[in-house]
Amino acid sequence: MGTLKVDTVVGSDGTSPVTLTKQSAAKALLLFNQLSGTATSVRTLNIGSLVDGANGMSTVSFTSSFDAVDYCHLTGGATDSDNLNCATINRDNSAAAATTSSMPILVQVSSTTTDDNRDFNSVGWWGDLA
Amino acid sequence: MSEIKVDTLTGKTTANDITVTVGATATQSLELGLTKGLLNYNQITDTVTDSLNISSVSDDSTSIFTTTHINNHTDALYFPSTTPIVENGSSRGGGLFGISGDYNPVSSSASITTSTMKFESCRASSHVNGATATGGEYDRATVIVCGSLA
Repeated sequence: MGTLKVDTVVGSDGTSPVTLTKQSAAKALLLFNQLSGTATSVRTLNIGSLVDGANGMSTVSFTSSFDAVDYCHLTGGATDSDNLNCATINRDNSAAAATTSSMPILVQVSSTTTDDNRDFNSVGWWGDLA
Repeated sequence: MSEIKVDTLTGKTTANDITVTVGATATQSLELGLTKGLLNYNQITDTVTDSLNISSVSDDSTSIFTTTHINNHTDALYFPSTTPIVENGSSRGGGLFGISGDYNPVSSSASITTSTMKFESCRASSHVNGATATGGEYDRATVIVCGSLA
């Protein structure tokens, strides 16, 4: 078995991104809570800022932008089947469209017809950075 | 294009700290971006189809199950993501699959701990618009986990 011990990996030209064969790493991660009614980041990767908006709404800005706006995101929110109370964390284009450098987020809870704040929410982004 | 073929990558200075160029100039920690856990679980038959870093899945009750990590996380503040998949056409109905109960990893009764994750699903009773939502299970409940391991 070969083991390569190295601190930094870069493309062969000295500057280009590295391609991982049959793998893709998350390019941004965000764990945030809305316990106080204000979106507050708890742990992040490649997140420059999280700006709280109207109820359930916030906007995340990336430290390093994506190369296109078609990046994908996956989310984790609370689900309570007894009370039919499920949170979804959506890409929100209603107020402002997502860009390569920022994405509006909308947290919605199924038991209500309005947007809402939740305790904790997790979001990850995959795609190529600029 | 040059290519390195190697079975193991280890940080020279710190074992889990390798910086990778991920954009034109942007660099990122390889360790932070890599997926640390995967699960493809059939809630109806209580069968694990595929997994990464999951040692066991316990069926707690209808629509609720708990997973145990093989390698634990450094703390409970990591990044779980969930997606349900409906394969049974005769009972398809929308709904959600997520972290069970109140998602608060810093509370004493947290569904997310360094070693376990508790999930819960909620499905509509049918695909008919306006169908009443009920507690229910999915053919496939998928989980992706990022974050640092202990």
